[in-house]
Amino acid sequence: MRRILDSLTSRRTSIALMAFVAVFGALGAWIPQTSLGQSDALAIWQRNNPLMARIADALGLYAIFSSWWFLTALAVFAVALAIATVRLTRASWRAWRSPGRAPRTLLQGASAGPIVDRAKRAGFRVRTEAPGRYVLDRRGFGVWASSVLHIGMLLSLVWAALLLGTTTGAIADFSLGEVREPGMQYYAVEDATDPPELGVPWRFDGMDVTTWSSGVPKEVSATLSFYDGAAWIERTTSVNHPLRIKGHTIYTQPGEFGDAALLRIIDADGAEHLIRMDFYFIEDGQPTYTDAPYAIGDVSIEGRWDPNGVRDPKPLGLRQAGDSAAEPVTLAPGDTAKVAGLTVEFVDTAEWARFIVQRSPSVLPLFLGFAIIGLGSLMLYAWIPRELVLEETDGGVRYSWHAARMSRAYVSERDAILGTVADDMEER
Amino acid sequence: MTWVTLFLYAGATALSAIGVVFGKDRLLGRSVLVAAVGLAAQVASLGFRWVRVGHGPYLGFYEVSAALVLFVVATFVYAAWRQPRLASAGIGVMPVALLLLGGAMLAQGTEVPMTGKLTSFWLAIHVIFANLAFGAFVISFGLAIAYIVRERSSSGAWAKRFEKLPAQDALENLTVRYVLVGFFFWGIMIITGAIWANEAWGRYWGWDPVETWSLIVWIIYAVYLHLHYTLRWHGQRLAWVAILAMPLSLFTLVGIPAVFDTTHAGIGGLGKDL
Repeated sequence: MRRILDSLTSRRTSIALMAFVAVFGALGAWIPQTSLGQSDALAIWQRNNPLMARIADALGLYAIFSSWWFLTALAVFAVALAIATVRLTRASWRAWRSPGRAPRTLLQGASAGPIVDRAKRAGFRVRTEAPGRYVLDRRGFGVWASSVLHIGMLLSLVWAALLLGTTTGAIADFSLGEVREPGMQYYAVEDATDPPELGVPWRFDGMDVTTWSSGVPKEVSATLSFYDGAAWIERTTSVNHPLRIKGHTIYTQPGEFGDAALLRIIDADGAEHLIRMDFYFIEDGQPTYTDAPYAIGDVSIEGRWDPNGVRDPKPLGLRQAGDSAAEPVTLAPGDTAKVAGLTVEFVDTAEWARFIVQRSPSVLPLFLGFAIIGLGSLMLYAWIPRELVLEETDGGVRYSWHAARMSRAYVSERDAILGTVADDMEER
Repeated sequence: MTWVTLFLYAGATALSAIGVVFGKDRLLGRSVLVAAVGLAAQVASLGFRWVRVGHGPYLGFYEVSAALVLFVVATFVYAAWRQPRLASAGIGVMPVALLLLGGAMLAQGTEVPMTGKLTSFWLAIHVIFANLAFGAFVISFGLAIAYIVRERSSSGAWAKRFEKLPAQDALENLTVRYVLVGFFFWGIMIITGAIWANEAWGRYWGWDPVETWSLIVWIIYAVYLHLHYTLRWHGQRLAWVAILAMPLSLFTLVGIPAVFDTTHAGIGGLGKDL
C-alpha cells in the first residue's frame, strides 16, 4: 500500500499524468468530439482523415473528455495532488520549525561580525542561537509557497468537481407573457430526476435588443417577472449578466429568441393542431427561415418570416418541406390558407425565448482556491527562503547556506554576504 | 503608423543582431531605444484603431497579434531598462515580435465586429492577462536562447558576444522567474475566461480547442516549474523546455482560432459569431 501511494504521488507520476492530460487534451481539441455535440464536424473530419479516423475509432477517441480513462486519469491526478499537498505541507512545517543546519564549511581567518552586518544590510534577520552561533534568514515564510500553491489547486479542483457533479440545469421555453408554474415541464433538462425549480411562478415579459451602428446586437436582455405571493416583481437578465434569484441562475442565450407565428392547423383527417412556429432573431431584418420542418401528421411544412416585407408584404410564408421549387403561400395575421393539404390559420404573432436555468453550489470556495493559487505563485516568485548559519571557531567562521528554490541563483548573494565575490546582479 | 512600427522593430532586430554578432555593446543599447520608439508608435497605431473601430485590440488576427507584440516589446524594454545587461536577449525576443507583427499586418484590413456576447469587462481582463503572460513567455524564450548559445560555446566567440548578460546562474534564475510570472498570468487568463464563460453560457469549462490548448500550455509550464523546483533540472535541458514551450503558447493564442472551429473564432479574424 505504501509503495502504491509512493508511486502514485511521486513527482514523475505527477509529471506523467500532466503529460497524459496534455497529450489527450490536444487530441481532443484536434478530433471533433461527439460528447461536445460536434457530430457534424466529426463526420467531415472522418471524411478528410480516413486513416486517422480508423485509428481514432479503434482507440475510442471521439469522446475523450467524458471517457472513463480520461476521467480516471483526472481522478488519479486529483488523488496524487491531494497526497502531494499533505506531504508538502508536512515538509513545509518541518522546514519552518527546524533549527539551523549544521555549519560545515570553514572560512579561514574570517570573523562573524562583518558577515552578520552585511547580511543585515541585505535584509536578513539575525537570530543568535548560542554565543558565537548565528542563524540568519530571509523570506523564511517562503518555505510554505509550494504548499500554499498546492492547497489552492486542490481546493479549486475539488470544488470544480463538486460544481460539475451537483449543478443541475434546464432550458425553459416561453412565449411572450407566458407564465411558468412550479413543476411544469421544461423544454430540456440535464438531469430529469432533479431538475432545478424556483418554486414560484415566473413570466417572460419580452426581449430588448440594442445594436451597434453596424446592426450587430450590442446588448441582449430579457425582462422576467416573478410572483412572490402578493405581487409580480420585475427583473432583468442579459447576456454576460445572468439573473441570480432564489438560489438559481437564469441565463439569456443570445441566439435563442425571436419572433413566432401562432398557427391553428386542421389536417386532412379534420384534427386540430396548435403550433408555435419559431424563427430566430435576425439582426439585419432580412427574411429568416424555420430551423427544421414542422411535422403535422404525415405532412411536414416549413416557414419563412419576413417582418419587414422584403420578399412579400405578408410576413409569413409557408410551403411543404423539401419542395424548394414551390413558391410559399403567404399569410398575414388572421388569414387562412391551404398549404400542402392542410388548412392553416395564422392566428397571431408572438415573441419567444429560451433561458437556461441552473442550480449550483456557491462558487466562492472556487474563487478562494484561485486566490490561494495566486498567493502561492506570488510566494514562489518573491519569497525564496534563504538561510545562512554561522559559527565562530578558532580558525575562522564555519557556515552553512541553504536557498530553498533557485538555489544556484543565490550563490552570488551568499558570496556577497560572506565577502568572497561581488554581487553579480545589477539592478536599477 | 503600423509600417513605422514594423520598420522600427526591424531596426531594433538588426541592431540587436549586429550588436551581438560583432560584440558592439553600444548598438545593443540603441536597439532597446529603437524598440522603445517603435513601442510608442505601436501604442499610437493601436490607439487610432481603437478610436476608429470602437473597441480595444481584442478581435481579429491583426488586433490580437499586434497586442501580443505590444506586450512582448513592452516587457522586453522594461526588462532591459531594469537590467541593461539583458539588452542582448533582444536577439531572441525582437525577431519574434517582428515576425508576428509582419504576419498580423497581412490581416490588417479585417475588422471583427463587437457582438453582444463580447460586451463584457471580462474581455479586457482576459485579454490583458493573455498578453502579459505571452510577453513573459517570450522574454523567458529569449533568455533561454541566450543561455543555450553561451553554454554551448563557453570557450568560444559566442560566449564573449553574450558576456554582458548576467552570469548563467542568474540568467537561469531570470528565465525561471519570467516563466513563473507568465504561468501566473496565464492562470489568471484561464480563470477569468472561465468566469466569463459561466456568466455568458452558464458553464465554466467546455473543452473548446482554445480552452483545451490553454490548459495544455499551462500544464507544460507547470511541468517546467516542477522539473526545476522538484526534480532539480538545471542548465541546457531546462532552457530547451522554455524554448519549446513558447511557440505552443503562440499557437494557442493565434494559431488555434484560425485553424479550429472554436468559440474563440473572433480572435482568429474569421468573423464568426461568438
